[in-house]
Amino acid sequence: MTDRVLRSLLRPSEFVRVILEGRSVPRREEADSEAKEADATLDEKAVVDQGEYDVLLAVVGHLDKVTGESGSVFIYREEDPSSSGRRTLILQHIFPIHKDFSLGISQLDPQNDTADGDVPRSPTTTLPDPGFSMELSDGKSVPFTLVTYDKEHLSTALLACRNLREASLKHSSDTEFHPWLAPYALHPSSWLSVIPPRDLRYSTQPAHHRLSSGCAGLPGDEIADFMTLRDEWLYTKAQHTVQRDPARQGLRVRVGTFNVNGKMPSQDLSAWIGGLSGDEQVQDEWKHLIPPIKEISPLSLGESGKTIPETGPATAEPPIHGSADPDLFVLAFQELDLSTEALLYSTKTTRKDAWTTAVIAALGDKGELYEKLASKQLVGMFLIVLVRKELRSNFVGARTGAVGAGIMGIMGNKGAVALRLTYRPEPTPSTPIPIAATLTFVNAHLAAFDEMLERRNGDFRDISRRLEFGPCAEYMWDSPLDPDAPSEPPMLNIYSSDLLVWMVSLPTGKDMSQIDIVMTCNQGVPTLLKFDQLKSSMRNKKAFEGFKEHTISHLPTYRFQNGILTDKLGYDMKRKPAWTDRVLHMTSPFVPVHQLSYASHPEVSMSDHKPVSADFIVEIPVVDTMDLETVANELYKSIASIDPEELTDMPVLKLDETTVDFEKVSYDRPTSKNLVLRNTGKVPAAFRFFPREIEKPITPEWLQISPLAGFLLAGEDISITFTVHVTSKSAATLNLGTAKLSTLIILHTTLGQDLFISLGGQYESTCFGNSLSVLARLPGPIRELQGEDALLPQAQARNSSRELMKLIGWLMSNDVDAVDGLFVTPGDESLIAQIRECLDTNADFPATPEGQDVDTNLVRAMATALLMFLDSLPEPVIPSHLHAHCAGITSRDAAYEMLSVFPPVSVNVWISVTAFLHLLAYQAEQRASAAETKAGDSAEEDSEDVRTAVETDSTPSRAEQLASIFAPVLLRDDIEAAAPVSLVDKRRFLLYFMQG
Amino acid sequence: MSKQLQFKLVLLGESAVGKSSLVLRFVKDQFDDYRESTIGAAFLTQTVALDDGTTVKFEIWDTAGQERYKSLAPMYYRNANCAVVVYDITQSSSLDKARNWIRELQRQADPSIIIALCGNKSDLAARRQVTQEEAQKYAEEEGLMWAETSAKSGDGVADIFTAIAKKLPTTAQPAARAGAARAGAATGRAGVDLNKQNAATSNDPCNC
Ligand SMILES: Nc1nc2c(ncn2[C@@H]2O[C@H](COP(=O)(O)OP(=O)(O)O)[C@@H](O)[C@H]2O)c(=O)[nH]1
Ligand SMILES: [Mg+2]
Repeated sequence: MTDRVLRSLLRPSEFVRVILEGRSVPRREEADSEAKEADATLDEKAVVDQGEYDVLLAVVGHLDKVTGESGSVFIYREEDPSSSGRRTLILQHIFPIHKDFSLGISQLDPQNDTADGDVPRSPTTTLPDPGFSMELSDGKSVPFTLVTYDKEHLSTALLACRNLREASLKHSSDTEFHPWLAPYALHPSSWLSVIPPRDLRYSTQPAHHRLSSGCAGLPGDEIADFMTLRDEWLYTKAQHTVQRDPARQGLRVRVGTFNVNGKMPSQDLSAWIGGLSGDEQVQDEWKHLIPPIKEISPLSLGESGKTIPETGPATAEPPIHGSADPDLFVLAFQELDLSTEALLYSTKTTRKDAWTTAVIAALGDKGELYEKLASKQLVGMFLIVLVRKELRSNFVGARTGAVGAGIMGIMGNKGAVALRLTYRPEPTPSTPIPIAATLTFVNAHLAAFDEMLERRNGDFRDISRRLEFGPCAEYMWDSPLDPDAPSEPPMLNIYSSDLLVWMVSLPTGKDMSQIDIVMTCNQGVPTLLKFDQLKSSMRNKKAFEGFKEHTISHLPTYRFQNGILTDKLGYDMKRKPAWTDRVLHMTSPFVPVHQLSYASHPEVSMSDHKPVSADFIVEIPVVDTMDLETVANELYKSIASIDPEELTDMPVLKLDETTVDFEKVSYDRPTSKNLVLRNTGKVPAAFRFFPREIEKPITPEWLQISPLAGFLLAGEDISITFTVHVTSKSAATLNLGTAKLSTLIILHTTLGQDLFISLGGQYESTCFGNSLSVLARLPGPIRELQGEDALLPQAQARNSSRELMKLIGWLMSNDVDAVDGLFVTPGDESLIAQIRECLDTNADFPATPEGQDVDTNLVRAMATALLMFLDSLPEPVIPSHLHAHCAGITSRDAAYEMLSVFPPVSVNVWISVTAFLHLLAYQAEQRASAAETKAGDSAEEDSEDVRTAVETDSTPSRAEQLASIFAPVLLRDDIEAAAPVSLVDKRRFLLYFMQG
Repeated sequence: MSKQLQFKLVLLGESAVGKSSLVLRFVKDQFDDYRESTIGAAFLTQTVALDDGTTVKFEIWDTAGQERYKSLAPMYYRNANCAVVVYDITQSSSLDKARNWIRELQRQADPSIIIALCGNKSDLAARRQVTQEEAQKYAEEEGLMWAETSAKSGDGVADIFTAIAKKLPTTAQPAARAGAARAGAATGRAGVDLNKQNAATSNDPCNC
């Protein structure tokens, strides 16, 4: 009977050697349990010993193909059958039988047959014989003592333990850990993965970032590099092996952030909370102001592709529930309480409770489906998680954390609160103990105002460092995946997670007017990117490095004012509107996340901020813990015996080729070639690419290599990809032939030799990426240029770039303004390449057949080519040092006077481009007034038209639209500049040349 | 305990003169008739015991001799304490290449570098194109050490390395090196007394 119950608690790979009944002897030291952390709804602690109880001691064995037999003593606590009606065993202690394991036995004094006199004899044991006291110890934690009268099993148990200990000494004398024990870890009710998730700042970055600094002839810390690459290999290979094609459970998470400005809930929050996908209800009332979001403008082709990782489309994976309702609501509030007392003591819970009630009310009927999982408050910051009731049991652990930041120090009104949730997928027959996924949510309130940018970035770094959870006893187990397993329960950082979401409020001002907002939304993120402080901090790696943010397509969320002094959109005229409320995330490569929406909710108007929501699907892989540990152990065995400090053989790597010829290489056309790197030596080998000098780039600007570091077992090989991509950054010297498309690359075998690879190709020069002064000195098409010396002398230079004139000439002589989305919809890439080729070789542009309208695609491609040409100039048409001056100009005459300050080539280009823009704006005006006359003639036909008429009011004029597109290109920001010049002012400057 | 010093040594010279073979002979006392030519730079170590009880540990960089990789050579001879420039006595053109290397080292390398000129393949004396007198005279003019060796027979190989070891200063200044110290190996550090370091951290991939 007991045997059957026990069997059901063990995995099939384990067998029971012997079972013994007894009664525990309490230890005094264990009685004091730590104070429970405030506000965590879940019990965070492993079951605490509660003194004396009936126990079942089981000696459990496990047979492994490789390591042979190993064993452990399990101590189960028997729940009183009367309360539950059935016999329940709860795993209380695990004592792995290894070299430090000990089992001490002493016979009890028959007169007083309990261990320390005050434990009565167990009522279940009625043997008249004197009992025995057993003390179990693993040499590390507190020993466990029990009293038994089960003499018969006692000797069997002793024998079994002795045998298992001997077996363990034979196989792995120095490891104290049996991986198969992992699933039974300290949380008896929750089988967690044995190692904490890797730090996202590492796992989202390639391993070569973590290597020592070294260069050709001067390797860095070779041993450390070898270990880093080895561990990286072990981890990723184990994950890839078990995750080859895992089943996934899609967890729907709706995240919200709301800076409530000290207000109490006075409005229905359903728009924000409502579980509706944000996309479906995108700002209805704003729609008439914002033209539909176009694709990313051609200007962004260079940068945005790299800096904003676009979140892919919704997953095809079925969510856990048929309905689209979220499984988890994670709601962040800031400025819950602005009162001064609140800064000193946050004892009152009224506000928190009021908002919790409002949130549940906003769910309406669906409120019943959810329950509160966890929450955490620090002064004005409050974070709460609601979960669908049926998933409640899958969340097996929750921890909370909080840090203050800012002037007030520890008790500041700024800072962050965080929740760390552990989700265990539902077990399946093939994955009886699924690995749990860790989801971490941070609600941060950072320093306000522009001037505080530095401090805000500092706060971010401070929070990143100080916000911790724990101590986390569940991660005490030694594992090959975690070579530096802690000897004490570790404190875990917020980055030790599979998914990390930051909800952040960063009050600020922004230099934008209504027209900017509308235009920015029209153009998508790229324009915004250049002005947004958060994005610029991310770009400069000062804060939020490595985080992803979904494309923003909603209006700024701050600052709104009820009543007077608001503009048409309700923004406070005295404050510049800004996107102050953001949701950013970071995710492990093994837990894909899709963001379905990112929206603000203008309907909720009680605060000076608008609430923001984001919907995610987290695709949690369902992988068995044992599978991962088994694979990891197998892999570990293949490298465990390799000590890089005592290698018997030199690591040897070979390449299948040592030269790579890319043949013909064109501007902005990436091409890739692969080489195979093979470990031909007798020992595992690590490799990395080396720069020629310490801390210098490994490759020239036009070359990328992937991977830049790796690890190969003897006989293994890997394909290394070399990609040549000439962009405006590297084109200037290549075009003139001063630099050749050819380089030598150094591949270093850690603790072994360097391999040289020569790479190169025939570069086709282009007019893109050259300075205007070089273009003006071209004697003919650039493709025919014989080196820099063949340029015309300065005295004979043209007054402009012939290529630019050809482009503008074509655009002015064709009816291009009729084409929808001109300069906004990007042109076809191959058409653009064709146009560029015509410019480089002085060939004719593709002709439009006689009598036919010019092809829309060609017009778009020409327009895009013009913008890309201007954007590729190493120095913008107006040199950066003049931007501030231009921005300060407030009259047309003063603007024209600036022309005398411009470099001569810039003057002509500026005049040609603005003349063209002027023409476009003029044509648009003509057409609009013609349409108005016509509309007036045909009277009101349907209501649709009336709306259009109303809209024209607030829609920016064609000239304003064009200026918004061209100002950032003609006066391109110096990304490195400390204080970028306002786009508004730049646009005003440009407009002086486009009007009248 | 006796003194242990550590020096960086680089081998230079035209392709196929026998640089890698010399290193193999010195480090492992082996010879291969058919070796693949080096496309890169190999790193090995070997220790020489001197009569006075001092031991000198050489960190040897064997570089590719081909013309196309010439631009990478400075990466390997920078802050080297000694250079062995090799020519093949059966190829007079290889001595010209050796002269070029020596000129480059005198211009670009650390001024205190010790340069040894080494005429290899002395076992093929029958096909000799470079006379001993010619090479020796040149070496004397330039103030270089000089010797003939045969990687194949082993003649003169250990001698030249020992001679270099004796000539190296016993208290040299540590040369500039990579930011992160390599555990124990102290690449590029001249004349470091290893006994002062933690002996346990020594990592010698080829501690023969
Ligand atoms: N006969 C003879 N052949 C040698 C000697 N040293 C090297 N070789 C041969 O010369 C060729 C080139 O040697 P290698 O060490 O690869 O030259 P490296 O390119 O300078 O490194 C190989 O075939 C060697 O076997 C030597 O001392 N005597
Ligand atoms: Mg060689």
